[in-house]
Amino acid sequence: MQTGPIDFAKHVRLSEAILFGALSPQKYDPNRMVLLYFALATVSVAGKVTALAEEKVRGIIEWIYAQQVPEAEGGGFRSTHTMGGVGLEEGHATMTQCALLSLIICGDDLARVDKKAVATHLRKVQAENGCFRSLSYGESDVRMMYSACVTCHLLDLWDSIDKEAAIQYLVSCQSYDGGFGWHPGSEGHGGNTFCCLASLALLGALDRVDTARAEKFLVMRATAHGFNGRPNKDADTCYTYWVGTSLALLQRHKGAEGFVPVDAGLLGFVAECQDAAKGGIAKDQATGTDLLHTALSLMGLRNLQLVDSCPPLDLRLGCLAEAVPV
Amino acid sequence: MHDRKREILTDVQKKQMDQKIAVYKGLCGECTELRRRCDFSDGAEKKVEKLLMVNPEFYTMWNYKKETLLHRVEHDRPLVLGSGCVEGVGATREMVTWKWVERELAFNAQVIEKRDIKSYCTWHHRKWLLEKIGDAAVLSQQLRTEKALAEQLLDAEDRNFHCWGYRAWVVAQLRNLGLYTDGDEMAHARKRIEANFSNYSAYHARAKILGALPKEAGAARVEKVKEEVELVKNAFYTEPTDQSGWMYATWLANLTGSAEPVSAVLEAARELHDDDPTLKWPLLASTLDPKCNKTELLEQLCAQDKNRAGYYRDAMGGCVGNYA
Repeated sequence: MQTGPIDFAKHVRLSEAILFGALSPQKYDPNRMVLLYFALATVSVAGKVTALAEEKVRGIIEWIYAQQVPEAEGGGFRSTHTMGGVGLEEGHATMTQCALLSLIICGDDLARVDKKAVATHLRKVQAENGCFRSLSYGESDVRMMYSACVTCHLLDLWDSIDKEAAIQYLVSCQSYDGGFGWHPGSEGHGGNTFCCLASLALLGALDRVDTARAEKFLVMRATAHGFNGRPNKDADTCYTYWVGTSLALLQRHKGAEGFVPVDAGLLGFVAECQDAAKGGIAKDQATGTDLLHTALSLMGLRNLQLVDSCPPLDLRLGCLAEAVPV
Repeated sequence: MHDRKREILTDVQKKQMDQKIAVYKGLCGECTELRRRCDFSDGAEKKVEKLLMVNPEFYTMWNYKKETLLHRVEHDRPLVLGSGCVEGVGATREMVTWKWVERELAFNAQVIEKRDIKSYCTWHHRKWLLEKIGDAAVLSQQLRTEKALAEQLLDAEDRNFHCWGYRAWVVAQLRNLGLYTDGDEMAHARKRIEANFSNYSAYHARAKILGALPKEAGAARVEKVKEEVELVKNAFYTEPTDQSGWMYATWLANLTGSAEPVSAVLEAARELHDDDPTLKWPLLASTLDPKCNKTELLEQLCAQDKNRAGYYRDAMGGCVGNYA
């Protein structure tokens, strides 16, 4: 296994400690389902899911299904059990996405997902302008658009949403420089560019935008030491995923395989941002590590074929291609 | 999840951290229960505000605040002011709503200014509050205040996209009221650029307006673009290694189809290249010249902009469009 200077074993140990320690019950974290996904994604991209104890994995699967919201309360999945209870919190677009991806990583076939309830949730959170909100009175931007598209893809719920409105919204988010912003008219940004391109790929509508210009914006994110998210900003390891995967997606869309025409010294940059003692990866060398940067750095490196730690990921989804139930 | 300093905690610090976490968990439990019981009292609100100051990402609590406000308005509950005088006796629902919104905006501003300037749900709550204001005069006044708040925050962090995004939403509302023009927008962006010639977010704001100029404006449009190129040239000469100005300028050059803006950019590129042939961006900009030897320039770029050598080789092979 080609891993170079990336200490996968340490990142897996940290993720396991969080999965079976800090992320277990009694934590009031409104983003808990997202953190669960990042921890599982780290173990998965290291090729180590099958090494997890079976009953622990089953425990995670049961816990995720316990966050499923009944149709009468809005459908979808909420972040954590402490947010639940009658009328307390409805399903959240990003928690739904992360729940489904987490189930897949754990080897579940999604058979117990109440698709009708999720469809209700999607209809509730799609805005008139085609974009998606997090909750029925939450904020809307392309991050939740992406969450909704992943959900539609995994459960084949495209008929529950207005696809054309979603596509038009995405098209209107492309800025003059080729990057995509979080709202129409917003500045191009690496993270939002991924959300838009991956959404368009899932919608089968990449041809509706200027992919050459998008590629140029992304290529310009390379510094000698990592990708940044916008012109004249510092490099941050999470863009290894947002920018790197976007570039890989566009290569795939052009019919090219593998070769990504930019070198941002990523292996070295990510390696330096690892915490040698505790494991985990940070956004840069001065900051503490977190699960988001750990998972995204590793998945980004895999998508750019700079490490060979697991079978290929589905570039649009953020999980092993082979794990997605047919 | 971003921006915690990397540090190793001492035992004393770990204990303090554990205590903080215990207090936080207790508060979460209390507030969750209060909401479950639909408690919209002042006492409940104090606890929720305490919690939001610790964790503004707890979106459920912002939603609880929304429900609280709606409940107060629904029950026509006036906001009692300090001296015992009951504001709102005989007041309209709009006035009652406004008093609660005003109070909520003040709390929300504290969270943004003191706790987290980058919390999506905190900024979203502000928009939700403004949408509750029924009185047109009150709304336009408050929108102006909001614009000033966003600009004050941009003074400190001139690329913060939450502030730019919020300001863009606010001025769109002002536009709808006939209280904001393209001229105002260009002036604000110009102010930012003059403070920092690398402010790509400010160029973006100007790009939106210039890009929307109708083609029928003809020569006037070309003039505006030429003036803009002159403005951006300040960026090239101040910091030729910063890509911000170049990315904007190469788009500007091609915007109208007229040769003049292109020549202006090429002239600057040539001058800077003569001064220092290793600079990447003047080389890239030079590919805009229809008479240039593209292959030669791209070869030079492969050498000077090594990170993107693969991209330039793709361009030489003709499978990359629009790379300048």
